[in-house]
Amino acid sequence: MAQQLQNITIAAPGFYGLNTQDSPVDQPPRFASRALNCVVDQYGRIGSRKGYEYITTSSTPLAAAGLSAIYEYTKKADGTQVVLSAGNNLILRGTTTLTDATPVAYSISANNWKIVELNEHVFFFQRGYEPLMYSEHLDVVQAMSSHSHALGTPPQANEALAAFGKVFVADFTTDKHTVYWSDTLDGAIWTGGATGSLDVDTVWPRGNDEIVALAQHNNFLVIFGRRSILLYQGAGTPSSMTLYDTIDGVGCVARDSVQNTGTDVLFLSENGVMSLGRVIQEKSSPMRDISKNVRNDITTLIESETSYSRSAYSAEEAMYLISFPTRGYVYCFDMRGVLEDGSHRTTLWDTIAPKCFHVRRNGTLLMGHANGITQYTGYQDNGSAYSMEYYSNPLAFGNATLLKFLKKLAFTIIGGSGAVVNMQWAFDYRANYSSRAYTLASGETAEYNVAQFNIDEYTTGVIVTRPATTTGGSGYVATIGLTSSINGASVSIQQIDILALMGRLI
Amino acid sequence: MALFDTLSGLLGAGAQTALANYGLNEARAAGQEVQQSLGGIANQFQQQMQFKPYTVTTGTGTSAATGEGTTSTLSPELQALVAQLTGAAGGMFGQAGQPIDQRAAALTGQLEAAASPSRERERLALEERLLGQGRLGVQTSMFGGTPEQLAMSKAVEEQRMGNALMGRQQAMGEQLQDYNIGAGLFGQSFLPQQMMSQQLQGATPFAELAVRGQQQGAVTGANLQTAGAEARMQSEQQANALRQIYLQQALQGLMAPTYGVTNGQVTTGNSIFQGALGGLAGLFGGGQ
Repeated sequence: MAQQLQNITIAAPGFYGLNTQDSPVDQPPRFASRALNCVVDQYGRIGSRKGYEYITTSSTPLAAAGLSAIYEYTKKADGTQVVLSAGNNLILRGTTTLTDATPVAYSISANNWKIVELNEHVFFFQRGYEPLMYSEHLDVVQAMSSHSHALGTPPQANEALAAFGKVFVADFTTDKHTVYWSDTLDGAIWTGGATGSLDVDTVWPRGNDEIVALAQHNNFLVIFGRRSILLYQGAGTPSSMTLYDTIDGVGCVARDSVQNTGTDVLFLSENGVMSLGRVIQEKSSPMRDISKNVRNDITTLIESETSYSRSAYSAEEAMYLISFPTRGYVYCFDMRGVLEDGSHRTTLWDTIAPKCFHVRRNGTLLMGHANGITQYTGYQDNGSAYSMEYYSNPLAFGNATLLKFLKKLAFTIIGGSGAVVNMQWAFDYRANYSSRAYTLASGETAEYNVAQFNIDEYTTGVIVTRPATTTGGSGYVATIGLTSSINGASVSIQQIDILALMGRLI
Repeated sequence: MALFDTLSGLLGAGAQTALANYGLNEARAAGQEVQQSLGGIANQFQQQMQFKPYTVTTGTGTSAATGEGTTSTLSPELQALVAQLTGAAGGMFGQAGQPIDQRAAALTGQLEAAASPSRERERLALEERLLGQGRLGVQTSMFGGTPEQLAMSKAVEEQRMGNALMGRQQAMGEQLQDYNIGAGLFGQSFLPQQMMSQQLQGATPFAELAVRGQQQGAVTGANLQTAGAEARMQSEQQANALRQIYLQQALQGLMAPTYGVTNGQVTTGNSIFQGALGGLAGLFGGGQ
């Protein structure tokens, strides 16, 4: 006996982001099995990420080698910005035109610089290299020992943190357990005054570890080992700072993965992206990470990563990005909210492949690419279209024992403006998707970089399209997907409506 | 008559001369006798006045006074005690004479050794505390290590300085004490000898009494004998004078005319000597 058609609505599909960890059948439909080049937008919809555009128009010194570090310094005197970057074994300066600012007779053969700022000076640290520094009063980059008020032996550290009025450094070629700090308010002075060091070799909870990164959080000095974390309180006076807590089993594996969100510190551990705030709160509970829904994917990437992961926290975009340059992946974690299990909504970007990130003072997210500085903006990747993909987890519609006959599939899509979307479906965990293309309605939905002067406008025209298609086939579980080529307009999936006929039992 | 008179005169003069010589000889003999007597007295007095050695024996020892001086001999026990005292005093002086730095260093070392266990406990406690606070590896330009380590180091150094000062003061005190003890022992070591001297001095009055008695006896005896000699000499002189008078009178009697009463008148006759001479002259024919 025929069953009645059932209308199954998935509102805000993929709103919870990727989940490749849990059993797919019983997952809420708000999880996605694939969310490529997507973000969760401000309305809670899964949609296309932004693309990037080059700011740099002239990058001769870079020679297409790519920027591995960017830092924007705002001059105290006049508020103008100086953008410093590193790439092609050079220190570069500028945004649209990159000029070589490397000190004379200073030879560089690596580009893994950590750049920090303290009291009108910008410091460049890299293991095995004498630190470089840019000073506002000289407006040049120079070796630290050449600086007028430098004192002591400049530490050739790999990690640096400007906090508590000092520059803290760690991770040397032969010493990976000592934190050194500069004199107060002068990162060029490394002897006398308030300088000092802290050997944490006796502090590691497991007896041995190595310092990877440093951070400041909640007035704590956070020392990230590879497998443990030390929290020191009272670091404003480092000589008397005391160990507040140690966290065993969780450490940081990527120096540049550490990002302070203001209320939290995020970092990449062996087990994924962790929240230090959560770690502190739940130190006695089973460890949770904000990337737990993609845990295996990330740990696989960590293991295979041979370059340096970079990260960024954009308050404007409410996201934490962490790159895996070897595979060209970037994981995006939505920071607007936390899921019930403590994780953050996660999406994966596979085509943007930045070499570094930097968030400017105005909130602009800069990235380093082969030919210079790019900006996270628009919906093209350097003028080219990119693919957005969303796939649900296999959906059982509440009863995996009933055979389902998909009759109709309808998406409610916001934006797109002439973009072609492909509605896809497949049954029973297979990847042989049936597909139906649909061209979205055209319209100006995005007005970025469009001058509005003397243009009469009655509406900004939010384009809402409901492409629908009849579908065929049957199975006990169905996977629904939508792919689109993003080429200048964003695409967001508001809703999916499925008409299905419930069949017999197994 | 003339011859008679002459002869009588000659005989009278000769008798007087002989009498005078006799008296002279008597006086000389008496003087010699007195001189001899006084010489004897002097010898006796010298013998009696000569110093007589004496000894004083007590529990402290024996002291002897001789003509050449005094000798004291302590008892063996006191000699041993004196030797002990002088030996101990020598030791004390030896200690007092040690260089002050050496003694001060030794005392400071003892004070440091006494303070060392508690200091080590405090150091370990600080180390444990710093380890617990994760600060064992702190090195600072301001403090060297941590402020606590600096404070402890300062405290330790202050204690060391205090110990050094205390050691020096103690060394000086002990040095003075050694000196005082040595001086005391040294002074005490002379006490038996002082006692010996005192006992000798104490016995001296008695010896002086004896000597004084002897002297007094000698002087008295000498005086008596001198007085006796003088009395004898006086008596000899008196006897001599009486003998002289007697002989003078006898001679005068021989020479004086004889008186008789004849018919109631005194008649003067020849002296006896004249009579004797006349007789002789008659015998030999002489007459007038």
